[in-house]
This record gives sequence, C-alpha cells and structure tokens, in this order.
Amino acid sequence: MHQSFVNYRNYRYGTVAVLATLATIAAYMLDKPRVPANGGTWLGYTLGTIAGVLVIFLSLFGIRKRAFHSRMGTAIGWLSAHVYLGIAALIIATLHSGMHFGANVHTVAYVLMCVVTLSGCWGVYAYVRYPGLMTRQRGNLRRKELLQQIEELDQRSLGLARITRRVEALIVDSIRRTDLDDPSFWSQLRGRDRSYLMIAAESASQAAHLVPNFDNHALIEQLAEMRLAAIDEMTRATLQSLLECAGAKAALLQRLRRETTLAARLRIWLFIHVPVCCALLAALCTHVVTVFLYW
Amino acid sequence: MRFCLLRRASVGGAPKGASEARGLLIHARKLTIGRAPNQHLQLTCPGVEHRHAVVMTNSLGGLRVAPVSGRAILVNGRREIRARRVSAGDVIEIGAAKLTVHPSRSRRAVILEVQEPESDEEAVDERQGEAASSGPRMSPWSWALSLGFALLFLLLPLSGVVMPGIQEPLRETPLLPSDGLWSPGPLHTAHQSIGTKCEACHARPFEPVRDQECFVCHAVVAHHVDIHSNDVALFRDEQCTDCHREHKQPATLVQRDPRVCTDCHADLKRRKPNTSVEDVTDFGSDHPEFRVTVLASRPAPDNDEGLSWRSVRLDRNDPEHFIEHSHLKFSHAQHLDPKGVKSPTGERVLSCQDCHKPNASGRDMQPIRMETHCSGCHSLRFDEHDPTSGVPHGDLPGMYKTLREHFSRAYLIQTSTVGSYTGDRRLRRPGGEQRALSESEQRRARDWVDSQSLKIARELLEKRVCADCHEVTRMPDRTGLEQWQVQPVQLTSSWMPRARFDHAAHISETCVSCHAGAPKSKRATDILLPDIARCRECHGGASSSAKVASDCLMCHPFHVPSRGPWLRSEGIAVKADVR
Repeated sequence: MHQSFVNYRNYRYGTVAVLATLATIAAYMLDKPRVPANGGTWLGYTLGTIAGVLVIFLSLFGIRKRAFHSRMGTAIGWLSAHVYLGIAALIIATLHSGMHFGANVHTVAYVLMCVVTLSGCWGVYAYVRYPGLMTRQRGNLRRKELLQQIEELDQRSLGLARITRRVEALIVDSIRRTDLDDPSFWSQLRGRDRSYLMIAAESASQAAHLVPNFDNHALIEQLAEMRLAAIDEMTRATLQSLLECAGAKAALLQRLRRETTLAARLRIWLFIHVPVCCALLAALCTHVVTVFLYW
Repeated sequence: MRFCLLRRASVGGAPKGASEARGLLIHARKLTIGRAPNQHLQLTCPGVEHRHAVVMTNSLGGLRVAPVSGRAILVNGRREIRARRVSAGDVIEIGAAKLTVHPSRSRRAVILEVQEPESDEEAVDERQGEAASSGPRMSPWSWALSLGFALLFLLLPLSGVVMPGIQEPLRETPLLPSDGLWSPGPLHTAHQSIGTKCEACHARPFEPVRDQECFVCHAVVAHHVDIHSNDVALFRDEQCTDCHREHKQPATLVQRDPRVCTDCHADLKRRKPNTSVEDVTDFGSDHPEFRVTVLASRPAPDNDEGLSWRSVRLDRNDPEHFIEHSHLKFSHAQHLDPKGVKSPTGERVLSCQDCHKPNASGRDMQPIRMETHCSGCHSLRFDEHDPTSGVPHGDLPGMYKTLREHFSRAYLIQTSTVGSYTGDRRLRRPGGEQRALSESEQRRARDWVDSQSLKIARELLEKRVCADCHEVTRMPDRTGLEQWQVQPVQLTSSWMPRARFDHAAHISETCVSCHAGAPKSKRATDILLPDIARCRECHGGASSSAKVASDCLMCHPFHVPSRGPWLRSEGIAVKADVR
C-alpha cells in the first residue's frame, strides 16, 4: 500500500494522537475539581501545558519542512505527526478551557486555534483528494505538455491564418490575449477564463473593440461569421480548420484552467493556516503571560 | 477619444513575416496598457505589469500618461511614478516596450507607435509553467497578524499596567484595548462594583491574589473557629481564594464542593483530637444524627427565680434524656383533637398555625406567648361568672393581691347590704357604708379575706387555671402564699443553632410531614423535631441526582459570626508578618 502522511508507519502518529486524546478525555471525565472545570485546576494547567507544547511543536513543522537537509526525521513523518497531533491539540485545548468562553483574549486564542486546525483539516482533505483529481483531469499529461499542445495549436492557427490580413490579426490577437498566467490567485481559484479579443473593424476608419473571449467563444463566433461570408471553397476550408483549432484550444484551456483551480485549491488553505498560526503563537504567548500576570 | 495604435513588432511565436506595421483604431476614454488580456494595448515583453499605465486626455485636451501599478514608466528617459503630460515626439517606455507619440491633426485623436521587442519564449513558458504555484505572499500577513495581535492584546494593555497614567484612559475609552480583555470570566455580582480595577485584587504581578486585598473590604468577615482558641492555627495556611474563586463560569463566589469541609471534617480528630464534633463526609450517606439543643434549668440559689438556664445538646440515641424540660404542661394531642377543644365560642378545632405563626422572614416561628396564643381559651378568671375576676399572668404576688382586693371589696359590699359573711347582722341605715370598721371588725374582715384568698389561690394553683399548664410545687413547711412555687418556664427557640433551617423554603410541606409526632404528643417534654431520616426522604448528598442535592453549606455556614472576625485572629497576624 502506498505510504502517505495519512497511514505513515501504519498510522503511528494517528495511534499516538488517539491514545493521547482518549487519555486526556478520560482524565477530564474522572477529575472532579472543586470549582467547575477550568484552566486553573491542576488538570487544567497540565492540559494547558500539553496543548501549548504541542502548538509549538506543530509550528516547528513550518521550519522542518523548509530544512531539506535536516536529518531530524523524515518530512512525511513530520507531516503525519503534524496532522494527527494537531487535531489532538485542539481537543486537549478544548478540555483545558473547560468550555468557558467569553469576550477575552483567551477565547480569541482558542478561536485562532480552531481556525488553524480547521484550515489544516481542509488542507488534509485537499492533499488527499486534489492531486488525484488533477492527474485524472489532465489525462496523465504534465502541465508543460498541455502548454506545448496549446502552443502547437497556436502555430498551426497562425500558419492557416495567413489567408487574409484580418484573419491573421484576429488570430494573432487571440493568441496574445489568451489568459494563461493570470497572476491573481483569486482568479486562479475561481478558474475564470479572462481571455479577451480585440476585434478590428472591417475598414481602417472604424474603431476596434475589445470583447471577452471566454473559451474562445468570441473568436469562434468571428471565424464562423467569416466562414459564412466566405465565397471560395479554399477560404471556407481554411476557416473551418481554424475553427477546429479554436475549439480544440478551448478544450485544452478548460483542462488547464481546471488544473490551475485545483492547484490553487490545494494551496488556498495554507494562506489561512500559516498566517493565523503565527497569530496563534502571539495569542498563546499573550494568554500565558496575562494569566500569570493577574494570577 | 480615438487612439490609433501602430505596431512595429510581432508577437512571440508569430512568423517573422507578420512583423510589418499594423494600425488599430480604438475608441476609449482612457487607453489601458499592460500585460493583462483585457488591456487595450497588450504588451507581453518583460518588465510590463498586468495593468501598467493609462494614456488619457485632460479637460483641456492635453495628453497625459500615468502609471497605475505603482511601477514606474520612463518618459523621454526620465523615471515617472506620477501622471505626466506628454506631447508629440515624446517617447514613453513601459518595460522593454517603447511608445512614441506622433503628431496628430485632430485634438481628439492620439497616434501612438508601439515598438515591442520579441518576448523571450522560454521565459514566458517557464513562468506559465509556474503559474499554478503562485499565490499571495504569506509572510507579510503572518507578521502583521502576529505583531498586530501582540500589540493589541498584550503590549497596549500591558503599557497601562506599567504606566498607571495611561491605564484609566485605556480602560475608559471604548474600543481601546485594556487589561479588561485579559479577564477570563465574569465577576460575581457582589464584586461587580470593583469594575475594571484589576489591581484592586491583583495587587502584585505574577503573584496569586492575597488575603490582604480581600480584607480591605471584608474586615469583619467571621472566622470558622473561636479566634481566641488554639484552633486558629489549623487555618494558618488557608487563603480566601481557596474557597472563593472569581472569574469562573458560572460566576459562583462560594465554592460549594463538600471537600472544602470534609477535608477536615471527614476525620476531624486527626487535626483536633479533643473535638466533640462528629465526623461527616456526606449528608446523604454519612452524617451524624441531629443533636438537638434545648434549654435546661439547674438550681441557682442566688438567682431570683432560683434557676439558671443553659443550652444543652441532646443525643437522639439516648431517649431517656432526649426531653425538653421547660416546666410547662402541654399536650399537643389534646389541643389538636380533631373533635375540637372548648373555647369561649364553643368547640373549636385547632390547627398548628393557630399558635405557631411564622415571623416576618418566614424562616422561623414567632415565640409562643401566653397572652397571644393561650389566653383566648385559657382565661385566668377564678370566678367563672365574673368577667372582672381575672388574675395577672406570671406574677404570683400580683395574683394574690388581686384575690385579696376582690374579697376585700366583696366583704365590704356584703357587710353594707346583707350583713357580713360572718353572720353579725345589723340594720342598715342610709350612709351606713361610710362608717369606719372597728378594730375587731377589721381583724375579722382581714382573716376572712385571707382565708378566702388562700382558698381560691390553692384552688387555682393546685386544681385549675394555673395548674392546667404550670408545674406547681407545694412546700408543706411553709404557710400562706409562700407554700407554692410555680416553676419558671423557658421555651427553646433555637433548636439546632449550628444549622440553618428555613421554614419558608419548605412551605409546600405540611407541618406534620416533618413534625409527625405532634398530633399524638401528650407531654410537653416531647421533642417533636424531625430526625435526619425524615430530612433524607427529600434531601440527598451533595452529588445526589434523585433527591435535592444538599451540600454542607446548604445548612452550615463556614463563617460563624459568634467566633470573631478572621482579620483579628492570630493566624492572620502571623501570616501578615511573614509577608
């Protein structure tokens, strides 16, 4: 069986996390503090210390995963521990709180911890699900191969487009204005095709206009119109070939975009997970300092 | 506005033949320039932002170029980051592309010649290959969030703690972060007047709340033991906060966990070997039978009454001594007879409430008074047919005086109307009442009055009226009124002074559901208080779920007012010195 961070070493860290969680839940249930359970009883302090140490350990994963030459365990082992112990840490922190929440810095720290953990869970889901989807989606082609195919279609279209100046201008512009590398992460995430097409006027004195070219629709429309208007068989056949190229490119672009979207989804949670985790570390320090400052 | 674009170079990948100049006319208010597909002039060469610049005309028809991405453009070789006026002949450089402004005949038309070097295909491909892995940068957000959090929730409130001058403005200004944000839970309503003054209790940083801060307000709070006894030493290590925890949810100021008490009281002899207090761990399962405190008398020759009263605790397990000796004769059974008892208005059925009335708070019963509760039926008349023949209550000489007055008057009336009771008949004449009695008559009259008074007094004290309720002893060696002694009566009012009981809280119960023996009790010595088994029918231990969960504090206060203020106990003095 393929070893992933989920079943690393036969669920070693999963087992550790489950046992630790069960042990703390049992301690919580068995403990009968004199005041309602809270972070200030001996069990509360113990659970708080465990959760705090876990949070710091989990944060260290950010450093370990960048240290490619580190010999301190394997990266996949660290990730496995990170995932399972992260979930356990939230449960332990919840028990530490004694379910007491309010409008204060301690609850903010807890909420941040929930956000970090939930975004992490989303990340686990993404890492389990999206890589497979992406491979299936692009039909075992690599991204570069997809781009190569698009490039070949473009070259073929340019070669065919030399029939008239207008067709050539149209094809050249459609290639230039094809949205391949939208840098906006949100557009990548939404997977919108932000291609445009500058449609030149029939005569030079009239103004050209810019139209959205979603899935090559505008181009196909223009080419189809030209094909209808074409008189000789040769032009019509060429335009027909161009239409086929445009259609094939649209299909490739869709696959590329879908993959881009999946790749973005694979990372989006990280943009919540990491900054909020940094805020959580600040919150944790604040929590510990203030609790003992006003003991 | 019309923009005419003249292109001089081909796009990457286009065949070389397609590089000749192409004109394009665009109608737009502003000409947008950049890498993005939706820009009017799309430039794909290096150094061009997605939305890099716009070309526009102002209201006077002047032509201006403005960078919009924050990245500079060059106008005639000069770096510009703001909008700049351009005119014919000027060269605008955007990244690697060059735009030359050509003279135009119309003020409403702009001619721009565009020169764009061929883009580096490899670079573009590489960038496109990486496109999917790009995204917003995380480190600025991470720093901003963590530093922002620390500033907002730690450093700003902390500055108030370090610099008291800015503490008040921070606390009082809405939306400004103060140390109130650190409060882990609400204060109990009793402490809400402290408000946001954290330092009122948290006087020293990184140190638990001390008793001194509590005593600022609670100087008179009572101790658990007599502050003059050695038992105070047992409490030397106790802190107020051991039991009174604040900022918890729900906001309970008093810790009601039985362990607060049973830590000591489960085995009190370990701490105090000579204690008379019995051990207890739980009301429901391990609580001693109630001991009842009653008033008991003992002879005290120097006292007016000849008796002194003191409280004694009686053990229910010793039935022989489990009696109250109030010196009263009273039968609850007789008074609660369902057929009724004789009263001035005929037969009357009495209920408990006719005599036992709750006080204003409803917690306890008003004391029983002869005048209030008994005299309605128990008249003190010695002559049933004479409503003026009542004797005073609780005053033996007064009673005798009343009797003597009565018979003196009777003697005078009789002698002046039908002759004396003694048989000395005389004629009556008008004004005869005014005649003074002779010495012998006076003696005779006195003897008669004394004998009559004593006769009635004996009847009252030995047979009816007084004897109905009071224990009267007769000393044969004495004569006159002194031969009788009515035993003084003291009714116990506080039967269980070490516990609190609230009759009002038990109003849904009937009297006899607890005082079950009352309807059958024939003697005043019977103690009619319920035993612990009766209480346990409804009250369980502190953790009981089937019955009323009853912790120690439900009945027993920890701070007992009679023991003296805690602050003045020696233990605290020692603690204060140590600090």
